[in-house]
Amino acid sequence: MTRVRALGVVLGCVVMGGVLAIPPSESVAQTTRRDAPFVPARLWDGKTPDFRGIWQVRGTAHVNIEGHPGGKGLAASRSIVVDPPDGKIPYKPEALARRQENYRNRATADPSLKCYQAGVPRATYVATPLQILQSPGNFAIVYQENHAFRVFHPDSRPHFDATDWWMGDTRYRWEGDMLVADVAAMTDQAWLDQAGNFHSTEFHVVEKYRMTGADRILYEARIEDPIVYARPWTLRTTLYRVTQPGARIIEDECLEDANGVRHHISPSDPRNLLKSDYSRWRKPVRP
Amino acid sequence: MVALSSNVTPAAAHHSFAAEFDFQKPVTLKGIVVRWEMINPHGWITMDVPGEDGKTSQWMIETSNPNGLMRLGWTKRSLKAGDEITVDGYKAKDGSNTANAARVTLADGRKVFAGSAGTP
Amino acid sequence: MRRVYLAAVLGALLGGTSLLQLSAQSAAAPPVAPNASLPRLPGGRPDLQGLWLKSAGGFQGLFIGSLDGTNFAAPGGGRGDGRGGRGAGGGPPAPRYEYTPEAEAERLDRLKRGYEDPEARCHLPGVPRALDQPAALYPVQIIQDEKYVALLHEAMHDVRIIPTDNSPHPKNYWAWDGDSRGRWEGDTLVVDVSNFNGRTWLDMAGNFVDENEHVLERFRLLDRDTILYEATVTDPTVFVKPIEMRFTLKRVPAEQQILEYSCLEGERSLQHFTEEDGGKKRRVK
Repeated sequence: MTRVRALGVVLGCVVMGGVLAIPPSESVAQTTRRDAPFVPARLWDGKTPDFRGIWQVRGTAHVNIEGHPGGKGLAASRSIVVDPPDGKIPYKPEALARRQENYRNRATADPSLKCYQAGVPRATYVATPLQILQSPGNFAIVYQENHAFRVFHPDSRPHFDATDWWMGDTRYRWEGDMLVADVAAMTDQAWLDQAGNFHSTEFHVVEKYRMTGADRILYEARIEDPIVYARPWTLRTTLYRVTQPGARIIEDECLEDANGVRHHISPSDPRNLLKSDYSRWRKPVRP
Repeated sequence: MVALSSNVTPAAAHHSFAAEFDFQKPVTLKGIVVRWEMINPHGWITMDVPGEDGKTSQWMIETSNPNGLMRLGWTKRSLKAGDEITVDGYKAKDGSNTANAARVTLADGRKVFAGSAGTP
Repeated sequence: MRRVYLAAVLGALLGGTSLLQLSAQSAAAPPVAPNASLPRLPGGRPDLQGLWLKSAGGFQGLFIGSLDGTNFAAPGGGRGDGRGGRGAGGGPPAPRYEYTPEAEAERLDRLKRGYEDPEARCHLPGVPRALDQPAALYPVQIIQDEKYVALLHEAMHDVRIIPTDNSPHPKNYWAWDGDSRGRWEGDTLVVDVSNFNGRTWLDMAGNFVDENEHVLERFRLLDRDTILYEATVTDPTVFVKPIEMRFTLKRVPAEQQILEYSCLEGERSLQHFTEEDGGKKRRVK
């Protein structure tokens, strides 16, 4: 081998090594992790996977889970519907017409505009964090948005479906290190996003929560509703751990303005503070 | 058959009774259930009430907090469209066809307490 | 049905405690020294977890869950705390409110404007009202680990995640439930709550606080099924003396569960309020 050719071989090897050393992309990383599944830490019972912490989805799927082009400072989003592969919710024709109508009216008809709870699975991917609370035998999720919460009950007992709930009734079990939650008894008044995607009271969701890294939970929801959808479908997204020091779930309440429109007002917003108005309080009237 | 207990008083937090309903205007409404909405903070029974003049008017009946009712055995299936019921309650002050249900009598004669604190 | 109910109650009360231990302890007053029979977390702190209900004494014929797949109610049990009245039927003693003269006038005015109670508009009840719900209707679920004690209230789906690291309160923060910072003093969870936004009422009878409210709470597990709750409420611009509150929370049988209370989503009463009570409708004579 000539020296030039040897150099070329060496350079080629260096380049190849460099290419292989580039950190893998998201999907490749997931494939790699699937080959060697992440093993989460345990609670103090030594066996229950520890999912505790503050988590948040990135991206803007909450605007439209089928994807949207973005604009006006809002990042675009691809569909988080992974089945069917075209990323579209398999509505029945008459239901699709209703979704289109919801979409046209979304600026006024979205229940979230009235500060109603987001429902399941929408509460998972809204733009505010959630906190997973756990202890051996207890699993609950507190959602910052409108301080909604869900207590997950062991699936040894049937759904409490005496009425239709906004956050559903959840019965869960562990399958290895994955939490599987069956959600039913949901009101048909909640939407799946800001785009008017909706369901009936026959809505049924099977959620899967699996830690794919110390700071990531892969979230999957298998969704069916024989009244609204032609077949079951699946959405998938990732919850990322919120790691800023001192991060916590903040109180979220709405205040109504003079026109009856509700606005989320943060506790750090001075408008939340109602200072005593001693001038308005009447002086005591002596009898 | 779901047992509807009627001997325990769910004294629910009820802000609105005195502001909304009139103690001086008791009413008995006999009619047909159109819809039973078991929602918070109060449940609502929509019922069609035939009047003496032959005309039917629709009434909205407010019940106490459903969570308390659920713990007594009520469900969204306890009342179905078409059920005959009799409601004893108090009329709303604003003159609308709205009443607070103190007691609901079902078609089979069982009486169920459905009102809340402040309902005599 | 009654036999099952009794069994459920006994089961909840006895837990893992032997009958002998129970009879020996029942003779003594609630102990102040560390109680060896309390359930504890690995760090040694008393385990406050479970579903709890403010109770006048005993269970009020609560739903005990489904045996045959349908929901049914347990018969019997005592009556509730009375029709919203504090202290009625042998309940905990009513707190004393001693207002400044101006605040007393405001309080009497609010008594006539009860519809303005922010809780009627589905706002968060604040502290200690979320625990001080009348007539023992809405339970609270407690979940706990070494870093926090979380209170998940059924009423208004109110949540308080209380860090137990005695960390400082934030600045420029005004909330309906304030800001809670907890610490353990022996077997007592002490919680310091400040940073209120001045919008909450203490009850439906016009008793209120302003933005200067401060609450010191004490949660003490007396036995497996009883938490003693004490709260000292101070608000120097409203009250001339601190208000002391004390009541017990009793453990709810394990078959029960917390339910969702979605207030805003189904609120339809306010539209009927008449002008004489500050509403929009005219009263029809």
